[in-house]
Amino acid sequence: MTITKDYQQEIALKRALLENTHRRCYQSFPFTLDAQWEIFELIVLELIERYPQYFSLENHFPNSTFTNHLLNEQQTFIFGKSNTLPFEPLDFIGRHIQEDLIYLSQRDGDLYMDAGQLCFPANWSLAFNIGMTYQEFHSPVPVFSTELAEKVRNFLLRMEMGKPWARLNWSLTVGHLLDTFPENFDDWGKQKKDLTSDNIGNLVHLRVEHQKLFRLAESNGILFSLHTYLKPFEQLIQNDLYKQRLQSVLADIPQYMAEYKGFSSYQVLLVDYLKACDKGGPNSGS
Amino acid sequence: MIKGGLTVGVKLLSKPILIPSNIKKALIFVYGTYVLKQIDLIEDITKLTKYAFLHIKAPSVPEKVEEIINKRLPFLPVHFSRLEPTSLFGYLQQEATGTHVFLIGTRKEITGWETICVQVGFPLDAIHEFELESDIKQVFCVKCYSLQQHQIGEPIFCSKCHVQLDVSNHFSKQHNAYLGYIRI
Repeated sequence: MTITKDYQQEIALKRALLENTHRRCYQSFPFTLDAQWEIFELIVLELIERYPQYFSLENHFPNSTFTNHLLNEQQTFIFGKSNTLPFEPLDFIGRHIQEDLIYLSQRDGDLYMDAGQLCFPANWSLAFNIGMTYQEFHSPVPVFSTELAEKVRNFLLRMEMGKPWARLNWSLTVGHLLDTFPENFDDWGKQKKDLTSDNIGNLVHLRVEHQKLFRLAESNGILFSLHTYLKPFEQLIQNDLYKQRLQSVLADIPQYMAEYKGFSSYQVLLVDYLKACDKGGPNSGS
Repeated sequence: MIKGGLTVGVKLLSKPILIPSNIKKALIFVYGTYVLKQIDLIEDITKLTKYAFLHIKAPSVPEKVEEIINKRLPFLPVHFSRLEPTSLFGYLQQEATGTHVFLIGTRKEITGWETICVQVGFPLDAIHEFELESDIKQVFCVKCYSLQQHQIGEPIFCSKCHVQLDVSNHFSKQHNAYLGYIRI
């Protein structure tokens, strides 16, 4: 888990979304409660180890007290007793970190999306995906063939405890918007139509998800965490290497992938913007 | 290993799936309406094993259908029945480990058969689905989470929140519906 300078702002947004659209942001099956406590413990222990100045835990058996010094909040609870928390354990601990959290159960030789707190999705619906197998929830991904998905899934099924894995995923978002749910696409999706060569550098953001996977010892499930970062193109192009890479990738990316990632409608405009910057345009980083 | 996906006439929606080629026994379940249109697929499945059985969901035995199948696949035992849940459950319970089931039909039909297979105790990797396109799809409105009936080819507006939806091929067994994205 990583705490950034945007912590207060992102936690406030997360909590507002959970308050107003809970079903959209949180889903779980009742049988995941034990695994949720396992995730709760894993995250609390990591927070107090990595950020002892921000988080602490006191144990007075059977009670424990978790303190978030950044938010000046304290919660006393009995580990394993969900009625001692104001929310389910996954829903509770997710409100103290910037990451989204997805729990994948492992059974019958497969992985199932059985619980999750998702406030900052890149246009996918937890409410729809809940209960799906690994292959099912990846089915909209182009080129992620059955064979490739099977290989990745088999790798995940063999993941060991204490050896987490990380990967990066990217897409583009118009506006500094973390909460791009398909549920309110009619609100945020319209902004694509407002893009011009003058505002595209300011409005289009590179969206990077730092994804991590942790094997859980007791439940044998997997915790999948996603920390989302946004940066506008006009900042990225200040770095010549980034600018060249963006231009090269965006010019060559296949159409179906541009459509999947949601920027096919402004791909040409964006590439033209990067080319103009390369020639020493007004926003050029050169 | 073969890839499922051969079709004649009826559009097969399932992505190609990998099936082990050395299975002990194959039970093929197909809805009567589709059997002749999926005869190539059925023939492919029979090549996976020495012991294949074809179960056709049909209220009666249409002679012409039986005749065509017997001519094309003379070695394949064919049974016609209503495939009622209770009798299907009892039948599948008698099957030994190593038997694979192949379900050919629309999503609604497949889901019904699959539920029984899982209840009996078939492992998921022994259940193979070949989904056929139906004229009517159940759609999950992503805005309000209501379920809508969609006639393929017609525009769809959510009857509850009134947004226009784009129906995807992303299917949820939990909701028994396809995802409907908001069209803007």
